[in-house]
Amino acid sequence: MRPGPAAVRRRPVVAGTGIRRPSPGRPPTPAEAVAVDTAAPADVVVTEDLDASDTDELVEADPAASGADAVRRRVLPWVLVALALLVSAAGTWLALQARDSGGNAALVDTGATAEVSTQVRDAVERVFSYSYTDTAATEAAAGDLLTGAAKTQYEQLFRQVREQAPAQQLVLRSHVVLSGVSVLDGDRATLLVFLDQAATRGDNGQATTAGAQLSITAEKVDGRWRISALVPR
Amino acid sequence: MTSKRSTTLAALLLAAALGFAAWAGAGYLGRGTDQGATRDEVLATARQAVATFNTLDYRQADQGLDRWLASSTGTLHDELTRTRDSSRQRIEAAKTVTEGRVVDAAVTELDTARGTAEVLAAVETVVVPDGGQATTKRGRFQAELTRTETGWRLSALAQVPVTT
Repeated sequence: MRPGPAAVRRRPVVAGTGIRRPSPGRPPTPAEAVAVDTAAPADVVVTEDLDASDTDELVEADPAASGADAVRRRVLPWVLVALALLVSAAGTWLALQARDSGGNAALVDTGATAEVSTQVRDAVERVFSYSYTDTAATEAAAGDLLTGAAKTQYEQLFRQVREQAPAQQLVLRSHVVLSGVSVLDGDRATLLVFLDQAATRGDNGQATTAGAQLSITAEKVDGRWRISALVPR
Repeated sequence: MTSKRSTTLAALLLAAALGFAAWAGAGYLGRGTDQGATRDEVLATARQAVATFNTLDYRQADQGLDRWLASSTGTLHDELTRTRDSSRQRIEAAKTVTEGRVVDAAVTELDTARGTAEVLAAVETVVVPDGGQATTKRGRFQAELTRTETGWRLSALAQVPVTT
């Protein structure tokens, strides 16, 4: 409850609501009519409530209700805002957790799983296929599709290929039979790849086929998945 | 008037927050936990089951075959039951002890609604013939799993052949 003087000072403000009343010269617009109908009686109640002489009477009549009402009116918006903040915080936490999904999005994010799968299959096939007529093409592809330790490892291995392939007229074709993504965590992924390889030697006509299983670590660098580690199984 | 308006605004704010939280909650329940947890469960079960199917001691053929039956369901389970006697005879005649270990595996397909999954596994098997030297074999397998009332089981298991 406001003290008496404040109530007295409010009187002119209340009187000011009369501005909203339509001027006598023209009929009220529907909006104005509504404004008058709803605002006027409330104003009357307020002025009566705040009248110093009536205050005691009101307090005596229903002290708990009027006091609690005022407090509730003032506090309720803040309670609601606080609740909204709490609920938003909980929602944000849930959203972040859902996106994390335990750090492994393999098969959970199907689009991203398909992307890494396709790009790594393609990379494996290109890196492990070469012809003695153009080993430079494979080497260039490997330079682009491999990164880190896998790149260094491959360069050492491919030196032998470059030396022997022309003399033996070697052609190697690799084909990924099956592959699966075991971990997909942001820009890192691990895959298991089943590979079939067919090698032919032009100098003696020998042809061999073999299967291989590779555990692959891939990293997304500059928007493309590149192989960073290869472990034969 | 002003307190009523701020209450309305605060209520709208709360409603929006509730809507956002409901959306986030649905996302949390729907994707992260469900599919991811099932994938991990399938992978763990498959690793164990594929290892079991590559492990056998001819001196304890029956126990080995029991373990195969316990990890299988559907057509694989039916076939094992049907061929059990001939399998035991073959195992006892071969006189080898094999122990399989899954060195890497990945789930390739997962249908949580139907309760089916496919898994790839690279397996290292140590084979010890009776009184002979141990040799290590490397193999690759494709397994199909089906959800049963008591968990995931192998419903098919095959070596992946070299086809090129």
